[in-house]
Amino acid sequence: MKSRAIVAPIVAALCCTLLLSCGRDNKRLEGHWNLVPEKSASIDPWTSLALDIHTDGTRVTIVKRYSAGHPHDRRVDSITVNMQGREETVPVPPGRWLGEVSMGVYYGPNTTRRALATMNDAHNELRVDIRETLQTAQGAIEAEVKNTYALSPEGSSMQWSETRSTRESGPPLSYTFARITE
Amino acid sequence: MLNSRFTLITVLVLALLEFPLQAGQRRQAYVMQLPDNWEITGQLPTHAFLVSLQGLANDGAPRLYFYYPKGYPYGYTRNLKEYFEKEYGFDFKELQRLEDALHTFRDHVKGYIVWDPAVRTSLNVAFTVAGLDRAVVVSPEQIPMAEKEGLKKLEDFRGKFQGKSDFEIYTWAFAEYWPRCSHEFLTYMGGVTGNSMQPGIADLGIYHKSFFTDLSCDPKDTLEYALADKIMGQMKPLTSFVFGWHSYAKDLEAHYITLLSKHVLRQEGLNTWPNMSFITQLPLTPGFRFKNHHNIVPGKKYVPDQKVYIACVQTDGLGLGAWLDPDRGVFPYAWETTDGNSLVHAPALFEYFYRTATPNDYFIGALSGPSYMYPRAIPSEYLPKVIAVDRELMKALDLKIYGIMERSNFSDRYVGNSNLPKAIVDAYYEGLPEAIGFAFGYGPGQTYDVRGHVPFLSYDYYLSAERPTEDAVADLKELAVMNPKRPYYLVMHVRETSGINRVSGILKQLGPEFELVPLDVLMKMAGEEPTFKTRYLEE
Repeated sequence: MKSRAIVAPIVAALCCTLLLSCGRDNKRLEGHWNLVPEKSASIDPWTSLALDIHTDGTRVTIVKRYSAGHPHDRRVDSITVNMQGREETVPVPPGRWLGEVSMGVYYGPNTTRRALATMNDAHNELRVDIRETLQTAQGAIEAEVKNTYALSPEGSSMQWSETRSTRESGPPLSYTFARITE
Repeated sequence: MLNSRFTLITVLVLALLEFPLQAGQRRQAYVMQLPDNWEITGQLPTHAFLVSLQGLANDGAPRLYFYYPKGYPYGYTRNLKEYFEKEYGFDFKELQRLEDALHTFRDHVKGYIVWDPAVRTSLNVAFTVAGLDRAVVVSPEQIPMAEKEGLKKLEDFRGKFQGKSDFEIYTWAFAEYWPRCSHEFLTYMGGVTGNSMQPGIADLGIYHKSFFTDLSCDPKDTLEYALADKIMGQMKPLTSFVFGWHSYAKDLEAHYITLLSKHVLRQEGLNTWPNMSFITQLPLTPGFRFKNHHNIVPGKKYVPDQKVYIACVQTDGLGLGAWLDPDRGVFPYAWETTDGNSLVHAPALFEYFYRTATPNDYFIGALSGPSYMYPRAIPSEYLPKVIAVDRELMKALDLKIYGIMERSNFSDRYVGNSNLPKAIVDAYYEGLPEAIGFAFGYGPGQTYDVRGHVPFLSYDYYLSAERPTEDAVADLKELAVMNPKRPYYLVMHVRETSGINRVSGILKQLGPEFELVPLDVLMKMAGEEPTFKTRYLEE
């Protein structure tokens, strides 16, 4: 009886700590997310998009995994930058531009992105502004892409919004994700 | 040179053939409706039996034709039957039951082969034997029907392949039957997998006594790949054909076409290509000559304005997609004369498409070689010969624009760079001197050139069937922003499953800066005033 009396408060304290910890992490962007297609702009021809946001000290890594069903039809786009608002240059592998792979827009060899990222103190909103050189049928063009990743108040969903300097019409490029893991 | 002559001679012979019937004379044939289920545990046994019977019944003359069910990839079987009645003098008598069909064509059949529904691959082996031994393919339940007609059992594959891999089964079949099979034809009975099979082209494979397989062409599947490579290696390059399509469960289209291209074999299909043992025997109607609907007026100068010029090309060949769409013809559309529409095997089918074309339908040559090849996979010594065959086909079909596609690096549809090196672009310019333009890619490409006012353009937009209209409109407008010089030439590759009305709806929302033009007009203007940057694959 005595030992049970001692153990019970310890277990309760551990549970509270765990819950508090979970609650705190659940209020941050970090985690593994899956696209909710019915609440998102079209990602066609892809059929799924998984998003990982990971922070390590002052740096944030954003990994997007696009898939179209077949194991060959996938692409991973990963970027790691400081999140303190200092622009830095990051390489991007050559290949089709991810903005919309059905368009004749490419990253050429030795392409870099200039990225400027800021995460707020609560880690529930991340802005990543990217300037990049794209190759089109007529040659190189400069494009600016502003990305915002914003957590919902309850922390179970997240919205990625993208605005491009080159896209002047069409539905908003807004994508809703559901949290899978923290 | 010999090979290109082969095709030219074939085409000319077909063009000059007189249809054997006299005016007013009618020809008898039979037609039957196929069920809309392709499962082993459903109606596949019915399909397998009937398509094997069709391959035998049509030996020597076109006698048995099938209506394929609604929703089938090739939706024209009823239209074509009516066309054959009108233009070829056929009277079709409808058959209702399998027993009736077998009884009607009993004299064309020497025996039966039992396939094993527990081992799907046994059906492909049975199809091989069907052509060699003039046998119908039956499931165990259909044996009494065959025996009632007095047919002898020639093979029984029940239990024979139990527990064996496809590699083991095909290795056995190769040793057993390949020496007797035609080495000019191979049938890939791929496509849908698992509990289903759509063996629409099996009649043609049986008709030609071909070997049937669905071996993987993915080099990572080392055993199956090696056997497929060995089989194709024993076929004569350039003049041999592979009917059908790859297995969706085993490999990619890119693996399959790359291996065929390596052996310079000519792809014909899909696996679903229907009634080909019937159609292949119909020559062109007397006096018919292929005439494309060209939009270029000789001698006229085409000066572009400061606009975005857009042209539409449907993907994936004529028999598939939007040809039967009631809205076809309302605006200019280009069609690839590729895949299951070889002039060699289906002149009557080609004639049907040309006869039913509207002035807004414009045909272009395709795809990279006769039928479908990847130029980077074709051995360099063969590439000029392949293009020479295409040149003859383009002449015969009155084509002026040629489509090329490349995916032999096995890149996926949406990511990889599948462009062409300069040497291959050189080969097409040199080999097709009458061409007024080239269209490259499937998804967008990035190979561009212009020589002597003849442009080599890549598709700059791929319109999938699923892309929402408002997004597609925004994509096209964004491309116009990203390509700021005017004129800007935008060739759009439209997935064949897109309806023409949907495409029309997209085009109408593009605004006044865009102008839809026929593909040949776009090419002509692009050749006169190029604004694109010459690019090749950077190796």
